Amino acid sequence: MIQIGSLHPETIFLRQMIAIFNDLGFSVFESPEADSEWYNFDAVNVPKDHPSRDVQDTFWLKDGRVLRTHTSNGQVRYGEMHKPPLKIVIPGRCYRNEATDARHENTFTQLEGLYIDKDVRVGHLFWTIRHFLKKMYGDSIEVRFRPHHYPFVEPGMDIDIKYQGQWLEVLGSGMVHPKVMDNMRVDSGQYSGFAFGLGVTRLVMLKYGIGDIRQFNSGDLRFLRQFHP
Amino acid sequence: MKILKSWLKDYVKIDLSDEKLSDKFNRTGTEVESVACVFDEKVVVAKIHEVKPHPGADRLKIARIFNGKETIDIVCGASNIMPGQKVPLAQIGANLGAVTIQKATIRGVESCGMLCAEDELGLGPDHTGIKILDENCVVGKPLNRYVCADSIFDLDVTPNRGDQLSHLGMAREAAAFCGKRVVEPEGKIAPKMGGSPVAVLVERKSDCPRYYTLAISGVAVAPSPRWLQDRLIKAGLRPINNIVDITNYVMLDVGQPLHAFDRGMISKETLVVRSASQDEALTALDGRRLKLEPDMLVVADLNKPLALAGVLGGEESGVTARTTNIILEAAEFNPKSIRRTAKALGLRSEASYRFERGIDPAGVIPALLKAAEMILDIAGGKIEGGIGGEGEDVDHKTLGLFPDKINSLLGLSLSVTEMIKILKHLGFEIEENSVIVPTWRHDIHIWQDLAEEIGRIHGYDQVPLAPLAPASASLDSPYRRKELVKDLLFQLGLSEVANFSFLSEQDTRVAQIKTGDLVEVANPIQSENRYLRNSLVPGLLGCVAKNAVFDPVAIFEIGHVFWGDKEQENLGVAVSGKEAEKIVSLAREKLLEISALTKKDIPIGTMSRGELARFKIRKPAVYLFELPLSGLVQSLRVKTKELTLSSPASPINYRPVSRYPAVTRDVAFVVGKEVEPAAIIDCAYDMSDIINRVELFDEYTSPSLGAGKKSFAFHLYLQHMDRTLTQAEADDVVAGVIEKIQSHFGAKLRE
Repeated sequence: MIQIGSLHPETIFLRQMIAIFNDLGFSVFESPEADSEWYNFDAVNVPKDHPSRDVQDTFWLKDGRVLRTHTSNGQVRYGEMHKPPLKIVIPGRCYRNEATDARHENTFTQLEGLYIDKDVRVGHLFWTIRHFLKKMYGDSIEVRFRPHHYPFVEPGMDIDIKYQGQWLEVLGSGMVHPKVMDNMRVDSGQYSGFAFGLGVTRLVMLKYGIGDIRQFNSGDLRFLRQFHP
Repeated sequence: MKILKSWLKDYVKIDLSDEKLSDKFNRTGTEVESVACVFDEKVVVAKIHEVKPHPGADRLKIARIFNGKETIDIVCGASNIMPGQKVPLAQIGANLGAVTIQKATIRGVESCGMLCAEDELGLGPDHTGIKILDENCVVGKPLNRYVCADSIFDLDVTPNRGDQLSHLGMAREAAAFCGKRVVEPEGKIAPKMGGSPVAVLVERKSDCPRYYTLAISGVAVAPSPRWLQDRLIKAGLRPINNIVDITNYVMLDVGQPLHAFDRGMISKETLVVRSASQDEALTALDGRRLKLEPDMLVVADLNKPLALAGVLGGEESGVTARTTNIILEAAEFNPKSIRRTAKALGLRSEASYRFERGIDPAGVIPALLKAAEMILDIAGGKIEGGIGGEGEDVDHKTLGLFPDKINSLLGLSLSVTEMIKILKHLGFEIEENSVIVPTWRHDIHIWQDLAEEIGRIHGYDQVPLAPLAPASASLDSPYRRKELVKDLLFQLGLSEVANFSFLSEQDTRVAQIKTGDLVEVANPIQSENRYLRNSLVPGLLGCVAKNAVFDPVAIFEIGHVFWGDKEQENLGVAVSGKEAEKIVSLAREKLLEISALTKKDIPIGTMSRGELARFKIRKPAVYLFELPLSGLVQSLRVKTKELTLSSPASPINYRPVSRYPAVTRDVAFVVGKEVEPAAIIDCAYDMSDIINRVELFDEYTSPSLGAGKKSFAFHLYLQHMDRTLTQAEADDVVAGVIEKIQSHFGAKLRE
């Protein structure tokens, strides 16, 4: 062949991430990018007329649907169709309606994780995330769990890693909110679970020291052709 | 939201450094965005060399001081300064709360800054003399290296925690993690309920569960005292006059938004809380004319609306310098109603922000009284009658406490006593097996919410890790099949791209797409985001055009496309350049080999000159195809479970891409067979930072090269990060690379 091809850096990174979760029994589920308000917001406990909707600037479509703001829109879609234990990761493209600069982009990639079973505890979440981060960034990575509010979980946490001496938020997580389980028709008295959302684009930037998020969708081969497995 | 450390100390005795306090807030769920000292770097340590009398004023002096760089004169009124002392100097441009220091001429003598007393720096109440600094402070250094009495914490409060939007609220948090109690000062006034000279009628009780007023007559409207202005400014608000400032102050203090009306502007001494009528309008305090809708709640008199309830006051009834009699309002409004109104009008106020998130219903009257007390103190006047208005009784929510469930969710083994201790510090009360939720906490509904409170205060670093058992997941998924397709294409030499899912009006014209069936974005903030793409082709062709320096451009994309109410994942391939047709055909062949698709499922298209021109592609040939991914991956004939996906064998060394154009050069070498191309590539990269990319594009052996010899050909892409690279610069670097490779590997350049 006349030249070496390349894969998008997010593709390469997602493969590595998903392989780690595969080994823990998580399978891959995919959900639509244009989805109903219900699956993107209400089903995951982000009600109308609540300020928590403002946290995510949303692209609304003229037909009333939204461009998903997170791949959490797959949680209830999957939960409705399956009985626990539920153990999935949901990779995919997400959208936020905001002005773009080197740090902000209206299109980015997320990996959502969901695990619902009997007796799933906060410690399982922490172990899983720590395990994942160590596999990705090496055993010496420092990880911090910080309480944070996300409507779809209770309790909710942000997870930081130490990067060049600074704590840096890399993912949001928590224990699946009983209302979300109700919407999946899963009995929250019997089951518990955790969920997390990893910002893939951000993690790739960290890994390779990419300074400008706009490179990812630029189609610039000088950028893209640096990434070949 | 900005809070002052000194203000927190009004409520709770905290003795933590800024760093510790910041860390505690972060670890208990309030993100600290920044911490700043109240005086900036322009306040420095200075040394007094000489003190002379002022020629024009007996009570003033001229201090000749050294600021670390030069000797300057400062006019000063304090009597305690002497040569040899080290003192704080606010230089020109320094910000001291309400004041920005400027060059001034005082009684004919120019003064280049100000020597500061303790109160001017917010270090304490003293104003009797200049603050004398410790001997070991270094002259010329910023003062905040040595003293910092007050700090401003900028916090990111999550939308569920409206109760944190005040100093009292954050003091409660600090008290909980320090294991201390919040002490609220006792009020000095206690007017009785009822007997107000102003009548209140609440028509929409569901949107206004409580509304209270207090009439104060004979106030003197004037600028606020310095300490009050300082606190407001540090917290990010602009001082206006003492009455308005006090309402704002109490809001920042306890979280209850308040409003003051000029009683003289209210007709017939009556306030009505009602829906706006159609076609009603209100001129807001900021002068904007607002068109009201019947869904919106207003506070009106018998003739006209006076304020947009809970959002913004009206200009006409606002407090001005001429006001002498006021009505103070403290109310609770329905968060949803406030949110709808604020959104509909595009208005966001400190008040609406708090009402949207929920205020403390039990705190409404205390806040009213606190503000009234401050007004009497600062602006004078007297209360007329008692508290007007009405309100529902405050509900106390109770929840069951399930220690076992909480321990099991958190994976902890806390005793009930430990749990109760944490909850009590947060203001919960305990009644046998249930807890009474504090009236200010609107986010606590279920036992899991209590688990969070206990977990976050106890500390998540105390939670023992619980491993998941290794398990195998189903490996055959549409995702995996898709990745196998990507591998196949990349192994053919194609590059994966990810283009935006959007099309602009301009894109649809260039691609000649009819917009009728496109999915349209309702609220695009950029014109690029008008429609969703119904094909990958416009994006792929855009990439071909953008990468003119590459030959061939061989790319593919797997992405979602949209039309009507449909969405599907497509695969698109586009190749330009001399060998375009060959490469595209090969890609198709490979796909047909591994799947049950036939040639007609993958029709190859090409582009006319006109089409190329519209996309600004300067290459003679572009070949492409696009097909739905589902048919392909469903009919894959490969053993998906057994194949492994490609992943990087060696670390990827990323080099930033310049916004300036790249220069390309091709070079070919004849080397010994044992030489690895990767070694040559690494060697070239090491040569210069302007080498963005080195790519092997040809490799062959032939008897004509000589025994044991091989030929490698490389593309070199060169670019400068800050400007366009000149041909001469590129030639220099390439010459360097050639020389180095020749000497390192005994290589011979092929001409």
